Amino acid sequence: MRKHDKDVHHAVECESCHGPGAKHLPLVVDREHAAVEERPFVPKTKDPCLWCHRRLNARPSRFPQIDPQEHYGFLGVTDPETPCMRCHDPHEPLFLSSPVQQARLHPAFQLCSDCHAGTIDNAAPRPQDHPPVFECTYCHGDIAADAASRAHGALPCRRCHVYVPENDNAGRIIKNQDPRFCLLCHRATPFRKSAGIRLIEWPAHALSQQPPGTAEQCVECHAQAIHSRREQLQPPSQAAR
Amino acid sequence: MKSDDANRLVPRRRVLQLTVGLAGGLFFAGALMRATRAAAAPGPPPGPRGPEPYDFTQYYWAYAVDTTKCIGCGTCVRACRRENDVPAGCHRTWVERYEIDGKGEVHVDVGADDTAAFDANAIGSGAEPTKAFFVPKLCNHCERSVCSQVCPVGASYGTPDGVVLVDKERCIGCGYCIQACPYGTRFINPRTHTADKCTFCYHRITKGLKPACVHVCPVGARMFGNLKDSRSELREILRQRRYSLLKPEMGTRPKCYYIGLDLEVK
Repeated sequence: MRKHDKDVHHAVECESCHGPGAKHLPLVVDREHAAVEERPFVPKTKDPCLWCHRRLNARPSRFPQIDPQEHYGFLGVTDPETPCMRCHDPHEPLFLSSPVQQARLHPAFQLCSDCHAGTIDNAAPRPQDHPPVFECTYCHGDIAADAASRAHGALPCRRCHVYVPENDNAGRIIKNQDPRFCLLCHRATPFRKSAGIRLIEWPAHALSQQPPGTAEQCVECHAQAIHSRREQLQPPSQAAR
Repeated sequence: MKSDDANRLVPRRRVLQLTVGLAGGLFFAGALMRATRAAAAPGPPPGPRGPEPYDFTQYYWAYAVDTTKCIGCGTCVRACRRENDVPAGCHRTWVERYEIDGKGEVHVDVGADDTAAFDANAIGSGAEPTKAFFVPKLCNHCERSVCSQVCPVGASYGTPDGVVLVDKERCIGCGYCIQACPYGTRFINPRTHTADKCTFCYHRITKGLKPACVHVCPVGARMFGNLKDSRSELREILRQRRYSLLKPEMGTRPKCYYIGLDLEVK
């Protein structure tokens, strides 16, 4: 399996970015008899990314595209020559496991320039290696505390809350509302032991409602097992503000 | 992937030799090829994939382009250039951009010379086109290829597996085929001074690989396959999708099928 098969670049062949690998291939096929040891070419500037991702009228609108000036202006990147790879791992361009990238993509984002003045220093650690910028609890502490007291308290927030891009620069972290998502853990199957998790028969469980099929999402009935909604935790005056 | 130019285009003589070999006895030919391969043993091992030996009677190659998917990145053009050592300023394949404005005026351009990428919109001054799209172009490998018919020395020819090739040892560089081709896909190679064009990467497809442009296309806009195989991906695409051809009125029976082609594309 190639390094990037699990992310959005899975359809991009190695040669598209690294160029032909005739001299590199013998190394992969038969390391012992390889005459030439050559590492693949790695693009160092932002141009190769923009060959595909520059915003153009003729480009299909469903394909992700950016206007570099707008993108850098929005993010507070001062050096227009900053390569995309300073923030995006080309093998996992929607990489979200580092807190700093979550911070950048969340609606209440923190810009690099909030802490780093001037141009981004190329010697600085990569965003993937950046220490945490924030935890969910910094802003959503009341919900997190409420969640900790419920049945799902042991799960991290991002087990259920997923990132959904809304435009080129920002996105929202929303809850996964698909019932199939809950069923990943809670569906009774012949090969699964309970292990403390409540298992249900599916779709018999949904059909047993009165009247059948009234609740389309699990949380409509089972919200108390996860956490309260934000409006329920805040006094009305504060919520309206 | 660079190799000697002379090895790239399979000359007609070679095809004839293969035919004679097959007629003379497949067994002998197989033994001969095994012996040849054993003699060439030192050096990098052979590719991991591919049917061998290549039986050209089992193939009839064709190409499909989905213009609704193309993002105009130019990866195919760059891959073709490096795979086939295409000289600067010449193109075996290229990507055209069409922008049609509110008055119905059509603006067409191609990508930058070096990177084949598009740096700005074709219509300046920020005007919004009513529709805009990319169309990749290449040799159509016509069933009735005009270029082969006009060649005075028989250097351009169609192979039994559906590819139109140029025998550069016979070509005298008269340029007649370049004028005859309705699609403008041929050029005189400034190094060899002979006619040059897309070969469907014949050196790759006969080893079971896809043409370089098809291999690298990140959105699957370029497709390639065997029309003789009823279960091939290409046959399935042609069964399901609505396609058209470039200049069908020329009667050349091109083998590049275009999905989502606009009437403005010439």
